[in-house]
Amino acid sequence: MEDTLQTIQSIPLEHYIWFSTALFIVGVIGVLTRRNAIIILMSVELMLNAVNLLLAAFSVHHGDPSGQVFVFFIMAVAAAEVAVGLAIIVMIYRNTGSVDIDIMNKLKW
Amino acid sequence: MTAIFYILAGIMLAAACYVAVSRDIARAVFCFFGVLFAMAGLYIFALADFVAVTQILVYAGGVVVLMIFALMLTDKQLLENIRRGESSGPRLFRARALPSILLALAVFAVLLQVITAVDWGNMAWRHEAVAAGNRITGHENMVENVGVNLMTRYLLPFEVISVFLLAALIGAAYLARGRTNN
Amino acid sequence: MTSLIIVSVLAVAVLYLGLFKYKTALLPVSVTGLLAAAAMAAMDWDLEKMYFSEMMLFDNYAVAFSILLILTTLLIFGLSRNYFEKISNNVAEYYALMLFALAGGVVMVSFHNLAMLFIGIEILSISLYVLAGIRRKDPASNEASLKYFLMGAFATGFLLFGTALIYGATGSFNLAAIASSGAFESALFRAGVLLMMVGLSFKVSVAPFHTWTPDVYEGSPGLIAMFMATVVKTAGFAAFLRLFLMAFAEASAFWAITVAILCILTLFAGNITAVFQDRFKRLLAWSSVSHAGYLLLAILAVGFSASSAVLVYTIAYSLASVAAFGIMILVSRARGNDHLDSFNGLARTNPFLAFTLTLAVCSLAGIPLTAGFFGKFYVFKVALAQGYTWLVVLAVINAMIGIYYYFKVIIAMYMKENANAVAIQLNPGFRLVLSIVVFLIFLFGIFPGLIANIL
Repeated sequence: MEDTLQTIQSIPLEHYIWFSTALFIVGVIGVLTRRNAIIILMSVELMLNAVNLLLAAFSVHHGDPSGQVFVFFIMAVAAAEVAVGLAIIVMIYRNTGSVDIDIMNKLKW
Repeated sequence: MTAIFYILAGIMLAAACYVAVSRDIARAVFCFFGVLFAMAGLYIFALADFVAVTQILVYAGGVVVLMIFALMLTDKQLLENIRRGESSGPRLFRARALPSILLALAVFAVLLQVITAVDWGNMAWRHEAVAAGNRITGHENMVENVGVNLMTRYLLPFEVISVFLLAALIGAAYLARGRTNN
Repeated sequence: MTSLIIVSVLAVAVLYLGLFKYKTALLPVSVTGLLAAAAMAAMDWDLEKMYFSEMMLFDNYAVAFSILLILTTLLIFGLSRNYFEKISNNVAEYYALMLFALAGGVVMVSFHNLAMLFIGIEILSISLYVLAGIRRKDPASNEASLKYFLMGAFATGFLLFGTALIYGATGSFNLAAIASSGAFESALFRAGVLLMMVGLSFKVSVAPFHTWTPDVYEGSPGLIAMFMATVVKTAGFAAFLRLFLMAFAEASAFWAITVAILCILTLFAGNITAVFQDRFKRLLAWSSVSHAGYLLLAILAVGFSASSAVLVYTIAYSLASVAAFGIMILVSRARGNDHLDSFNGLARTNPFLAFTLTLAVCSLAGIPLTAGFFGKFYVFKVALAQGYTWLVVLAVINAMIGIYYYFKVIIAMYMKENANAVAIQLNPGFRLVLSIVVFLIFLFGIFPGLIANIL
């Protein structure tokens, strides 16, 4: 048990940050390049997950559970947001028969 | 042992890239599931065991199922395609997506610069935390710790979230209601 | 704090009224509840109370903006009689969601912890995603809802990443702890500030993150667009300023230049595009983008009576927007669309409406004797005091462009004729609200001291 804990703690903080930054950017690319509303929603969730990992990592190195508590807030909010987002997508699909955001180009400047 | 961390992180990133690039939504959803699951493993490495369990319950168990439902409610053609093996597979970006990718990669480069510029070992609060013995070692009961925090210091946000959840519930119920019942 | 509880409980009460089909009671109950909430907020004046281990701080800033948000919502409710009934049978949901959004707004102007900022923004946003798409069968409304949702969720991602980096740099979510952490030189902190700025810029439609604004305003029902232009914008800017004032003020040398660039981009993007609009709702949407630019000027001058300038500006802007959107609703309902030609001959058929709209657009343009003039005046004054002369010069040029496109609608009403225009019928709610707005625009335009010295 003690060994496991030591190896676990030997992973430096910056590695968590590298990975979560990379995940965040993958999410950003997904949002910017994709046209399918469901995929965009998943990419946003990737961004939020990156934030959660970052907070959890900072939290343990700070010895302060605030970061983990914040992760719970983000999870609660993100899950409810997904529900509303999917309700919107289903509503649109009922009206237009598509979830491609290019189809909806009636409003343009 | 540490290798597991990097394997999980690698799986997470690879699956995330597939989600962002794939043209097949059904596969993307399953890769999304993979990202969330690998993420739960990373939380355990961050000694956030309760977060890891919640991740599996809320994300892998709830959000992914919601996604699959939305998929089935919106794309009737899709399941047909899967059965006949006609899914188009991942296709690389179209040309007009290039500026967005370059922009995102530029942001990434800046962030990496920031991260490497920070002297992680010498941050003020880390010294304070070590000096105060304020370090999570893995021996304490994190569930209790988080629970006490939620009910004391973070009680107000915890309560206000209920307002948020009620608003989301009403909104989602209103929007997704069937078209006959108006 | 009591006002926040009243608003949240009121929303639940309204839902119950809807459940038991007391539709006629919805409006009176909401109005009474909002008046009570405003009164309770006023009781907190000068108390500077912290709540729940420093999660919220009800200082005068929070009280003043809470009252402004509540009263603006009250004006909007005054216009909503018989409005939502035309859209759907489920009227209670609209009132409840508007009240939830208001509760989120109150949290946003009184937070003292980044957790509360995040939750406040989310309560406000999630109610509006639904409200934007409330016309479920109208594709434009659907599109507005989806666009707003995707953009809002994307912005939340940036906001949260910034929050996480700031937590990493300072080790706290508390505004006072962040301000006293002394981590302002750290690259991590700076990246966090910039990412939070991006997230908030999306929410208050600052260029180049404003692209969703015109589509969402146009697709949403008129009253919801009014709510977005007034309550949401006020809450967003109050939160923006509060964050930068209470947590990041010490680092202002670093972020000021970024805000200045955003300010110029926003002013030009909003005003120049507004010139080419021929539909009044889109024109108002683009003008709301440009007003975000003027408000950024005040944020630049952080710490130097910036809160007072933002308060005066948002009061003037909210009043004028309520009138402009209200008349847009009336005209587009009576004449079928909100094209500028639809306003032809309004001065002959409805002199009162034409006069009110003239006053509203004069206030938006910043013509003297209206409240909007002093809004711009104080904002320019604080920016000049901080030495941003070049920026104020650019802003004045933009105000000139603004006068050009705002006067297009005045010309349509007074100079052009429409032979077959008939008088538009006003219901008592509209008459009352528009009269109040006219009175207040004049009052604050002639005696600006009434609101200028509150904060």
